Amino acid sequence: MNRLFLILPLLLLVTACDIYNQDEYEELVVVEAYLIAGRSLPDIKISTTLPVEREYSFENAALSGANIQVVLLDENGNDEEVFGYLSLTGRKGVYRPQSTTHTILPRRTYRLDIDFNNRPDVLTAVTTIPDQVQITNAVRDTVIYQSDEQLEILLAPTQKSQTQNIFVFDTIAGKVSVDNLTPFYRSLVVDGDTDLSDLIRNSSGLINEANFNINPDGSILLKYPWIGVAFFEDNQVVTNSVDRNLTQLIRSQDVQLGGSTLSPGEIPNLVYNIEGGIGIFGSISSDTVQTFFKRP
Amino acid sequence: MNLRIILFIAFGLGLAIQATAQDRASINGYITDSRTGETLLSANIALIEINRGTSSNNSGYYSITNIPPGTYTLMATFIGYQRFEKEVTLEPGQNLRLNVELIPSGIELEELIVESEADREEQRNIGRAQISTQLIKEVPSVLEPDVFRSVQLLPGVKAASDFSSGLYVRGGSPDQTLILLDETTVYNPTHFFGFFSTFNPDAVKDVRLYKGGYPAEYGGRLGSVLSVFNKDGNRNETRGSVSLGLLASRASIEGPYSRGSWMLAVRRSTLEPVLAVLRQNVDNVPDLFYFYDINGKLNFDASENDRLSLAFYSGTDAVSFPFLEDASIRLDYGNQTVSTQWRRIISEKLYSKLTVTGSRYFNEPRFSIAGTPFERNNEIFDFSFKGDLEYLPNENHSLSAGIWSGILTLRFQDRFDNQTTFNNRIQSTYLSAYIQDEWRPTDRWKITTGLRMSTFAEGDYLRLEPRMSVEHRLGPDIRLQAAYGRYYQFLTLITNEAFSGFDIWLTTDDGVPPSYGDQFVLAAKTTPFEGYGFDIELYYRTMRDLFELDPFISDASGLDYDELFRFGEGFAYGLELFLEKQTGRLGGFIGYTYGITRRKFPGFNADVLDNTRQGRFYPPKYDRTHDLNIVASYQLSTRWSTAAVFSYATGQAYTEPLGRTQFAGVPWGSGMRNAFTVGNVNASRLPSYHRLDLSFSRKGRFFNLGDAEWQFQIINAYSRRNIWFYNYDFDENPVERSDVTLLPIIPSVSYTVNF
Repeated sequence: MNRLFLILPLLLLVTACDIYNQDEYEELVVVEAYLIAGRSLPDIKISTTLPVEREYSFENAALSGANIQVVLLDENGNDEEVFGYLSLTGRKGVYRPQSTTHTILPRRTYRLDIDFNNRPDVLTAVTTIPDQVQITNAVRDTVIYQSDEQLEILLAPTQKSQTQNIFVFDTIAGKVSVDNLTPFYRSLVVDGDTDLSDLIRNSSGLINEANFNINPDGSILLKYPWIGVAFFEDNQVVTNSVDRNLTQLIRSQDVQLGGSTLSPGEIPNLVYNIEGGIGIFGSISSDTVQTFFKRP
Repeated sequence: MNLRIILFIAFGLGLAIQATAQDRASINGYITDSRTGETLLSANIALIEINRGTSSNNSGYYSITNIPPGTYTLMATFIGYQRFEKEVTLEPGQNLRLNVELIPSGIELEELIVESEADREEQRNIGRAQISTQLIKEVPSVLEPDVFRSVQLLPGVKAASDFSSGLYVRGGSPDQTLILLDETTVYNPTHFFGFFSTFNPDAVKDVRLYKGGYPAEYGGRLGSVLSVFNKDGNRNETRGSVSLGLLASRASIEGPYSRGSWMLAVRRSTLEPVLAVLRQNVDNVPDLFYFYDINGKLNFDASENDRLSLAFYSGTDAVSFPFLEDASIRLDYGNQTVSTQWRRIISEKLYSKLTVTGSRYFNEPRFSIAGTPFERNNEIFDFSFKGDLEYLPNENHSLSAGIWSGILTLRFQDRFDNQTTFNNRIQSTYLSAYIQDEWRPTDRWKITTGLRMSTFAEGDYLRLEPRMSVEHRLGPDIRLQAAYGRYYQFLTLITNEAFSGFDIWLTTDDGVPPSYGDQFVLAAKTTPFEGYGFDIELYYRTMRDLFELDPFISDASGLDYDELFRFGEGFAYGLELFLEKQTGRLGGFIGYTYGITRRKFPGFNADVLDNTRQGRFYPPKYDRTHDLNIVASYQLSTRWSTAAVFSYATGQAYTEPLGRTQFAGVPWGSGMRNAFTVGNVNASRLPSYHRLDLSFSRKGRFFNLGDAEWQFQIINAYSRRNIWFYNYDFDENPVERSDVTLLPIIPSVSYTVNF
């Protein structure tokens, strides 16, 4: 028995050799494409990752020689219409659709196919375009900042392309200057290290539909929170409905930057939903209203 | 189900009812400190001539039965106390009630202080460790003496960082340790957002940690149990103490009354003057910051056989500060517990304990940014009833059985811009029952078997948990031990290592089954030389159906409850060595742990190109292969003493970013979005952690009113800049890495007066 107790610790130490090692950098193909309902097919950017210790620029990472097509799928998942892409002259890594007439269709699924003349990678991804967002109420022309009367937006009922709609609200400033900033954002710029340019389009982050009051007819009434308003005076307020790919990419990027319950230093990869590479093949639909946020 | 429970308990009690010879005698009573009257837990007591002994239970009660009539020497020992010896004569059938008072060492210095292996046998049971309140106050500690910080020095227990008092025991996360204060569950036992624990060392009598393989008496957590017992109060005279520190000050008073004793201890932060000064020159200083805790206990001796007690604890942390313009944060969190207990000596063979407990935890962060409020409200109410029986049918068996039943209510509500965005309330009854037999077939063998049954109404779960431990005494100086147990856990803690102020507990439910795991422990407890103890423990444990909040869910609105979680598994194994010097002017211990722990969750730590997202095992941040603590104290003179703690640990795991890319066209917002690509999660290691803390104490008098003590401390004496984590700055190109460091050198001073 005495020997057993001596042997066991040794056995444990021997068998405990840790085979979980740090792996090496691996170059990956990166795709970036956003399909917006009601608009024409977008440009698609193809690049590679760069080692983290190298200076990053898209030009250094851009890839030529890609064969790209975007395919509109029918309801059975078969190819309905194929759209070819060509490399944009003078901009390595940027590819432009040959068709300028096709308009992205809400509630339809598109597939991206990429291969290369000069490397073996093959990438595919699919996205289902969210139903067209429509703001149906007459938004007030002028809203007094931080008054009891918040900007109200009524969204028409939509068909869901995922369990629930995911929204992002974007406030696009009309008059950009430090003097025109609302107090909180002014202090971010003046006392903090935020660039004024970062606030021109002030976005809400991803918000689940269930956060809002859903009317019996499926329409959604929301009061626009004051935190979304970075500048006084003229602003465009954009309501975006976001697909699953883009939702998962952005949420996982927030996690990677430390905004979750993971321990500091525990860094996961983003969720990409692309086979054979990384990046985003995502889609949104959106609608915009204009209003004037008046100083109180 | 109720019938099953009744049968279960009846079976246990049935085992206990055995006829015994009427001509045998017995002796029983409480073992107490002669100076204060405090009961002493796990003190040893024996009749020397017939080599029959036992140890006092969690109430300080002992009982030796089935003794042949005759005259014997009764001996009682306890660490830090003089040996007690008394001749007793037992008549046939006599049941002698003998309360034993042990004299603390240092009161009569000419007496020999007995501290031997026998004194510590109970404390050195498998998987078990005990921390003395003296050690808690003696070892250097950051700003405040702290129970958890002291426990973290033991092998098998790790700290996540200098800023976290969370207990990571044998590869388990903090929620895998059941924390009890006077047998009442405490859900967030931290002050100062996790920096130190809520347990006031002035109020604490005894701290015991079951690191693993814990007995059937306890349940509800996968890993370990930390049980803190507050003082009952001085039964002989009214005494008190006042202690002034840099962060907080403490006061306590205790004393007797005609039918028992009482104790009251308060502690409050005393940072306000410092904050007021800082506010003149520094931005973003809190306009409100305080914490306090109050511990109280009242004991009522209803009769010779009946003791009642009422204990309570209340603690709150509050902080509020404005930041930038038009923005503020306010956070209140805390715990309240109350317990009342009736301990009854039913007969010389049967001891009972009935306990009613209540525990509340609340956590209420509120932000207001640019006129938009965010509010969260998380509350737990846990009301329970416990009944425990200890039965001694003969000298070979010690049976115990009990039930623990209660109602647990969790409320979790989020509000954004004055609108409720998430509202979840779970109320569940729970019931557990256990039976346990400690069988000593010979002097050399001790076999403890137990079975625990746990039910949780939410989700309708019923689980059985077998437990077993075996001890074999090879010789007077070596004991070999082995233990196995299955453990279930119905709760999970959502926490952030950096900040415990936002801790949230969630429970099992439909679609969220309880976590479970098996533990295997082997141990050898030896006394290589007189006055020294040397222990080895090996452990292996599994963790299955681990459920924790999915870190990729940033918005819970509209999700089903089971969609909030990710479900995974894990394992941990390790070797612990513990060398302790128990006697002399130089005392202390060396604890070493070799430990491995791993986790796996679907989709997490998957290869970046693996679209099936098969998760792989990875080490959590707190995985530390080697961990060494050296604790030493030395009595320089009658007035001066010194203590030192040196800690060394393998650097914590972190994820090394390997590649990067950029998303420039996200159709909202203004900025570029950067992303890293990583390989294996947490496959790299931070530099090793090491730190030396020193403490010097000088005893004296305070104007002849009482004893006083100055304590001077230097934390991180050589100012090692240990790294907490790396921060990556994307504003620089290429990305720049900077160190976020842990505590620098910190001197502190405190002054304590005992009156």
